[in-house]
Amino acid sequence: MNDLSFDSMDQGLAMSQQDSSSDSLSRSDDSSLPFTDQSPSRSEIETCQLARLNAMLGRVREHSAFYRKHLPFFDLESLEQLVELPFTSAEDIVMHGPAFLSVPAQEVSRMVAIPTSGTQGVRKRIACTEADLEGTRAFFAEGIRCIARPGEATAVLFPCGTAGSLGRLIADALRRIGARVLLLGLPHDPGKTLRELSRASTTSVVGSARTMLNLARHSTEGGPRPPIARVLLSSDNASDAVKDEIAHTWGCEVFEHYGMTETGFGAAVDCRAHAGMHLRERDLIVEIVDPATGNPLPDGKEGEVVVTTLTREAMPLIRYRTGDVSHIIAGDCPCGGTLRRLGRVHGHALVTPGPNPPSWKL
Amino acid sequence: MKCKRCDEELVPTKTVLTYLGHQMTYDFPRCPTCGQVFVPEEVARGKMREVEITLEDK
Repeated sequence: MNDLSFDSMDQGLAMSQQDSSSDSLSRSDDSSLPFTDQSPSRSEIETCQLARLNAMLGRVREHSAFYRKHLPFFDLESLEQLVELPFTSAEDIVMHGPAFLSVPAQEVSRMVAIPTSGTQGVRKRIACTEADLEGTRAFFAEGIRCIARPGEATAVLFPCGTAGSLGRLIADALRRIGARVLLLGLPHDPGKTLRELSRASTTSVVGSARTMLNLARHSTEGGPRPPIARVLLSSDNASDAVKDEIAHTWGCEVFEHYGMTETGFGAAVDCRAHAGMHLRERDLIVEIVDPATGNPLPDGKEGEVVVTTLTREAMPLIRYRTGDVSHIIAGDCPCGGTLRRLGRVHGHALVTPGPNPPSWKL
Repeated sequence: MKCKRCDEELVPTKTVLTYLGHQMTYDFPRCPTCGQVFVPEEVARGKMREVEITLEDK
């Protein structure tokens, strides 16, 4: 199904050692569930993470030209040892993009190019296989249940122009749970969008905080008031004031989601307790580190969010420095869920490149 | 430049490229017998890459 022609030479080089009989991800059918309802024990979660981490490390050492060069050649005996592995930066992806691939180039079904915060005009390209896209749909199908209801209309206000785009993946997930989908894309005319939401009796909407605030203000200024009961905010950071204004305008419940293209869009989502976003821990390991020293920080301490992907096929990332700032919320969630929770996420404000641990030079 | 398989001289031909549902045309040397198209490296790494990246939105 591949119709890509990007950097075929680089990727051919990067994948010259690829073997079709390579180890698989051992991905079970429900691997992408955020398990917000299931509440596995911490020991079950961590056992799953360690097994997946070692399987993924073996795979990238074998197939990714970048990680083959940079990773030490031993399995981890515990998750605590993860800190001994080198960081991956956005600049690494820009500079060595095709060398990150862990599948043959022909298995890449979608590329997403995203601007980098550092160098103006430079984009990093993230590769996805069909299984990666499917993992995203499965996660979204669980996460979106916080706002969507079978038979009711949910509007998607994210880009939806091409196959594999964020908007279309969310729409696929909504159809799976039996919701009616209003795939509108990014609104250019708030009045028109509000009229469409009203006409379809839309009870839930997913979009960026900026988009939703703009629509809410248009409603306040005399525009249509669709019967929105639940809103899911994603892709930018929402302050309490923004969330309150949206909630107050439409009388709705506001949920938050955190994710990035590098993690397959999804990473963490609010529960009904609204006490932090539960992490997608079966698919990701999230660390918080001191942005200056790279040292891990305890729960409750704010620092840079570092992610390791456990189930991404095309471009697994190890200890990827996101540039986002947040903290892990200490203690138990009132919802009873055992997945760790990410607190308020800030932008790229206080991040400066920190050193890699000694093993970087291995 | 000749086609290695057919030993025919390649002829510049308007070629339609499709990527993420978008189409673009470009003149590429093409074998008149087997239809194989030669994409020069500087085009693949230059213009084509540039256009692809602009289409690879979220």
